[in-house]
Amino acid sequence: MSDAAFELIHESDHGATVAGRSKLKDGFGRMRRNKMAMVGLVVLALIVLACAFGPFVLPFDPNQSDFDSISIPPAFAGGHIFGTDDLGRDLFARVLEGGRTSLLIGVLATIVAIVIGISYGAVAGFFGGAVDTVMMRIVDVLYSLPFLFFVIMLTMVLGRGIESILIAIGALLWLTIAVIVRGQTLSLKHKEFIEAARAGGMKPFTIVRQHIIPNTIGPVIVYASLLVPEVILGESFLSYLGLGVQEPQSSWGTLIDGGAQAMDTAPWQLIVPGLFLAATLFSLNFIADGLRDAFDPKDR
Amino acid sequence: MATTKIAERPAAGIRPSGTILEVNDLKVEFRTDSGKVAAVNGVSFALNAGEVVGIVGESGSGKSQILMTIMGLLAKNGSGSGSVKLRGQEILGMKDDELDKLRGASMSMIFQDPMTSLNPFLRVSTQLTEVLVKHRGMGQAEAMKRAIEMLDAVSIPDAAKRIRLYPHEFSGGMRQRVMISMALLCQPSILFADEPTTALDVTVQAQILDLMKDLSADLGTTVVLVTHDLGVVASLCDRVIVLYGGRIMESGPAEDLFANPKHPYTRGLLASTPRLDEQTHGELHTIPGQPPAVAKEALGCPFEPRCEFREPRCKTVRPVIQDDGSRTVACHVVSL
Repeated sequence: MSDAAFELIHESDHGATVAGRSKLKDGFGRMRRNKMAMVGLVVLALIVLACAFGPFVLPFDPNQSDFDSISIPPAFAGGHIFGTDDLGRDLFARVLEGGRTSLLIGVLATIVAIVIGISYGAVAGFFGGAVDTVMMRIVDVLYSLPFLFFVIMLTMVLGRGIESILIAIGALLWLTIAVIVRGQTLSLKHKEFIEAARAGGMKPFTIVRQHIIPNTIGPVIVYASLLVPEVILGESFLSYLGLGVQEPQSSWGTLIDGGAQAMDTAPWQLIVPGLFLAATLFSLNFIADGLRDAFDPKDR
Repeated sequence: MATTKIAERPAAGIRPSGTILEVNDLKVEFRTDSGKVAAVNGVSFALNAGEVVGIVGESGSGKSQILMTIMGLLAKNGSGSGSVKLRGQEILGMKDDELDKLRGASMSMIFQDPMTSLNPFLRVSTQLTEVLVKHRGMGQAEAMKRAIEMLDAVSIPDAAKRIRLYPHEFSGGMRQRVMISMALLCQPSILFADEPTTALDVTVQAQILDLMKDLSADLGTTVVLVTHDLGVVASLCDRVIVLYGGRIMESGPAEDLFANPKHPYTRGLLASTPRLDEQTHGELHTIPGQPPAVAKEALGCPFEPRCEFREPRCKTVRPVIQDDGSRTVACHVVSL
């Protein structure tokens, strides 16, 4: 997500005068002038790059126990710059490995939610009538399911692990996007360009795909940028409860869980993954804020 | 204005006189919370190939709804009855699937506000080529070439570059040109224009109207122009239909009708049009009263409450349409 944003921002620099400026580019251009959002973007990019390439560079295997160096506090001397955990595994390596899981779930679940949410909402809104009523009542029913209860049920059926978390989060998070997109679609479908498309003989699904969905992207981007931290936090929360990612796999949630248990004797085990999680969430929220300012038509 | 060759077929070959669209006793009703409301009450007319017809009337006279019904674009609570035949084929009540094959290909439409008729998120090229890809089965490259030709034809300078722009990078007049080129891409036999120049300023209006006239002549397209601007009708149309309260009050060749208006409503309309060559003594003529609320269906002539020549029978008896072959008028008081 952040990488794509980066690319788009970069493009707007050069392509502006020649090929026409889309509203999307306009929005990203505005966002670029938002300092906090750009700082967030840089921090997030650093964390993403570290998680992506760090495990290849670090000399320690995140799952390799070293019984000579159990619970070493952070120090530059031994190479364990963030210390080790109580099984002697390098904490930095584990945090980066855990970050992969957390970020991956965050991005994947958000993409799933966006795809389902946009298609569902656009179809419900555009076709209206009975279709809309039935589709939106299904959303209401799903909305009424308590999240935690739903996750516990799913882990009982599918077993604990990333898959059940992904399914549980993905299955519930698209609801809000669907509602947002439906609302957008309702106001869009009476616009003249939709009428013009119908007058041009376009089929309903073509109109939804070609004309409705691109116009809902602005608000969806804003909401999705808020969704990524929500998902990461949700995953951490579930892993903390022991419902999510299982050992030896790590995520920021499981690391924080482990750290909390060793809080008295080895506080860095809680502080380090906590800092990474907090930095990521902060960055994402600043980016989301910047996106909202850039795409909210009222602020223009 | 149209200097580029835009017709695939020679214009001479597509100038058959003859009826291409026949509307018979068209009624349009809307279901509302307060019951059924009729917007159009039995309108009949025919369109000949290649002519430019103006439909004139004030707001709420049902002029736009006639177009929407023919195009199958009525709002969900609306329904049309009667008969609309395109080249002998009944299209009223046709399924959307089949209508989609005609819309854009045999008949197309230009809307009032060019600012909102183009999708703000898509490049103009995308919006132009999709029509050709759909109706003509053209490949992307071929469609692009044709779309650029068409933009050239509507006098958009530097069309090959401009086609890559987004709608908000065009001015209002330019966007209406784009709309016109989009509507004419597949060389439809009928072009419906719903107040195409209302949202534009006067100088641009004239250019757009000239352009439409030239293009329709080049392509042999029948143009139906819905407007409340009598000046536009006078300068552009071969034939005029005057609508009031969902009924045709008067129709006939434009020149004849403007020179010698019969129906009191037409006379009122013409008298209300400001003219440069006439002393108005400071005040503009108006037709007293309000246009009828659509809910109330009059027994007699819908214009009766505002008519200065009204007679008792106008309230109770609906006037018969007098037809002398070229002109029609529906009035008790005047005769052709």
